[in-house]
Amino acid sequence: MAIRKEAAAGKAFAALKEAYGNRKAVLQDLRKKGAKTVLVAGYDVPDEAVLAAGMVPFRVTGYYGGPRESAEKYLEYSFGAIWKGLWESLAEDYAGLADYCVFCGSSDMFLKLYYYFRTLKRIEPERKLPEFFYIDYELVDKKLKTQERNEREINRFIAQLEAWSGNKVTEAGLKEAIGLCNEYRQALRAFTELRKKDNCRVNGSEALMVIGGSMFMDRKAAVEAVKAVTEEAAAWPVVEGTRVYYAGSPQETTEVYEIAEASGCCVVGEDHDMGDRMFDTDVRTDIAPVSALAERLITRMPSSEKGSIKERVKFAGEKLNETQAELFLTYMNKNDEAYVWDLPSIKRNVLEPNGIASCTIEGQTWPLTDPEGLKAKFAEMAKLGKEAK
Amino acid sequence: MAEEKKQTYETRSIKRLESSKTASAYQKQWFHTLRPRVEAGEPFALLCADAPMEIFRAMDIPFVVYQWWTAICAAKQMSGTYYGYMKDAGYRDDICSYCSTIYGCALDPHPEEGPWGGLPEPSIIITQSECSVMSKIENLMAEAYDHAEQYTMHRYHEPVITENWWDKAFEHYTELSSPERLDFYERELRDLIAFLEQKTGRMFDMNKFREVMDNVNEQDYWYRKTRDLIAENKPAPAVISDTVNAVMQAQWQRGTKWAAEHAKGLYEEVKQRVDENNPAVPNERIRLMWIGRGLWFNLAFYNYFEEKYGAAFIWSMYLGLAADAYGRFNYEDNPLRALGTRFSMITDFLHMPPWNAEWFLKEARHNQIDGVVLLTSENCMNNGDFYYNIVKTLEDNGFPVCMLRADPADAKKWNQETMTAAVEDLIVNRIEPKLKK
Ligand code: SF4
Repeated sequence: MAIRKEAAAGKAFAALKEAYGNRKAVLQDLRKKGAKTVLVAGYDVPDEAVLAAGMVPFRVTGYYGGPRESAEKYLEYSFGAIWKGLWESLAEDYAGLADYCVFCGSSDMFLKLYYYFRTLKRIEPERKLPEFFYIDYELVDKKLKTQERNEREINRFIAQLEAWSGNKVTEAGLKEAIGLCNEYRQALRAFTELRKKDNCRVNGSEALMVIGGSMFMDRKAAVEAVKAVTEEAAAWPVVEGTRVYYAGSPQETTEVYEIAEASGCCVVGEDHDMGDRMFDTDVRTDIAPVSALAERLITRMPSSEKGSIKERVKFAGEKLNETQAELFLTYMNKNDEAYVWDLPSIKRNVLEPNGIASCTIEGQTWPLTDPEGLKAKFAEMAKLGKEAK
Repeated sequence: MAEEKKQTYETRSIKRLESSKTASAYQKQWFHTLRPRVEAGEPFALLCADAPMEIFRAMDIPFVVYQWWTAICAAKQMSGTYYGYMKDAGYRDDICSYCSTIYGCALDPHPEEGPWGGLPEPSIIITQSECSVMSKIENLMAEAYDHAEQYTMHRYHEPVITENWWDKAFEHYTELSSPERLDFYERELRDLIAFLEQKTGRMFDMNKFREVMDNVNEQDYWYRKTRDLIAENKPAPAVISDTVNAVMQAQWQRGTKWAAEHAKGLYEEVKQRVDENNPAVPNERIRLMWIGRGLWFNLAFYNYFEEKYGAAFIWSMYLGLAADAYGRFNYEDNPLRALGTRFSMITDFLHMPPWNAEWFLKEARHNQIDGVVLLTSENCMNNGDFYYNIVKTLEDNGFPVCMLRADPADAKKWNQETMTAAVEDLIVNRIEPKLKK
């Protein structure tokens, strides 16, 4: 199934696909135009603050153009595929294309990589690395002191942005950026309504491409593109296949989803930030902007890596209900296996009582070492989901 | 349940120091008094290794550091039993062994059969959001010990990058942290105290706490002197198959008078060996450094190379870190602030670049090291101390490094032949040719 011809034929979809497939070209173009770009390494960096500073947030994803030689040289084997890709992008592929880079602790690996890059800058000063900054949030504990800490961190980040950009970040500017980003998130949510069971017009691969593509566009253009593709998608054929909820390692390309969907599955939702999790909630507009940005951090869907087991169990129940998934997939890259500890509790408390099948795929790498084996697993999974139903 | 693999090689190390034996004996004895205390209703806490145990000491709340408990289980060759319980409950038995053994213990239907009469049921579990996987295992642990309350402490990063952190750690520790970080950890400690007071009904006594801090300083003073004796004497008076045990077990009692005295005893014993010209390895020709977690289930591995090559493992982080990282002086005004810099920075010093590599280099020089063996934990996803930088820093300065990938807690995965061959390769092909020059 993968990307269907009806989707590929649409104008808005084509534009999003272009951005998704040529991320580096977007970054090069920004450089050429003299834009002040901030590379974003983390899923909780407030783009709103970057935009309010008159800068451009650009999400760093992995390098998928060939062997990751630099990552292999500098990183330990404990870094999974996502993290090696990110290293290769920042250290090599994007070298010299941006002056600033912000990390935040959405994953423990972002913190590690921040330390590594800071050290790399010291030991190899000739490298064209950006200036690095780390936003040190607390993302799990829902307490007043968490909110206060996160507000402090956002203010610290804003001060850094002001220094980088030479622009003052005003409350009005922040509010305007929040408005724009909320509109973007709402547009994406409206689009993903088309993954719902009663009118499923969009498969997982197409969804990833639209969500991801919009991420690399100018924010206003992204809103328009997502709205336009939603109109196009309403006329796409209904998607068949075992409805699969995906939990686990982020998917920065459509490769895995495409294999799954060519094998009889349809990914109808996911808990990672290249998909649904990126836009699951808005930033409140009825309180001070920095407080609102901080509050969103702890009201988002619990991340598969950081969320407590209790939260993950609750979230799994809600998401399976919302997406009407027939199978719960936990997909893990090698050494990216925090999710494995959630699964028995999710099985006991959610999947088994509701007769929902589950499947775990572990030890994956990039490039995929055994795509044929994966295909067979997905085919089996498609059957399993239908049978359980 | 998983069967413990039969060992075909010697795993019990040669014990040359009385201090190592007395530490084990004390610990065992302490453990036997623990169960009745807990059964009589006293609080009992499980802590992760970086928790501020001095607070618990000052409040007389007994605790077990669960990664250290893992070491005891591994040394007693019992880890496999616990991984078996996890597997039976639907969990993987091949990842995160160092942090998950304790969860296996929590699932044990016969806890009293564990090492030293087993782990009593905790009433408090203190966790730190240092590793996300660890937090999940801690969630499970708290669920399994259904009477335990989980309390999470948080971390704040960004220590100040400075040259030679070990020169500042004792007297100028505030220079190693930003003011925000200092405030943060002081508040974390105050919040923890408030939680413990409420949970246990015991009041935190600042004077008692100062005593604990003084005891720690005294204990670490002796460790510094012991480390220096080993570093400066060739052949060395002690090797790590003795010191890791003596130090780790006494660190567990950190802040007590006993631990300070034990550290002094260790020093005196090592000093006596120097005075009597009684080295640990009389044929010592090569001095090795062991970076990484101790090989608890096979401490004899360190002895294997002594007779054959005259190669002695004389350095490990256990004594090195105790010597350089724990002491804090001039804390009269605010001992909590001083403690904050201790427990928050151990991870940085040991695991974060650039602090770790610079310190290993300083220690390699000071200890007159010929070669380094670096153990990276096979199944730890959080394993990554920027080894590239550590290896480069050491090798650029003339210290050849051999990296081993193994599981430090699970004996059944250890491959004695491969690991021995790797260290032999370091000795024969990299160190010996250099010595001949
Ligand atoms: S990833 Fe490493 S530090 Fe984290 S729980 Fe697993 S073994 Fe422990």
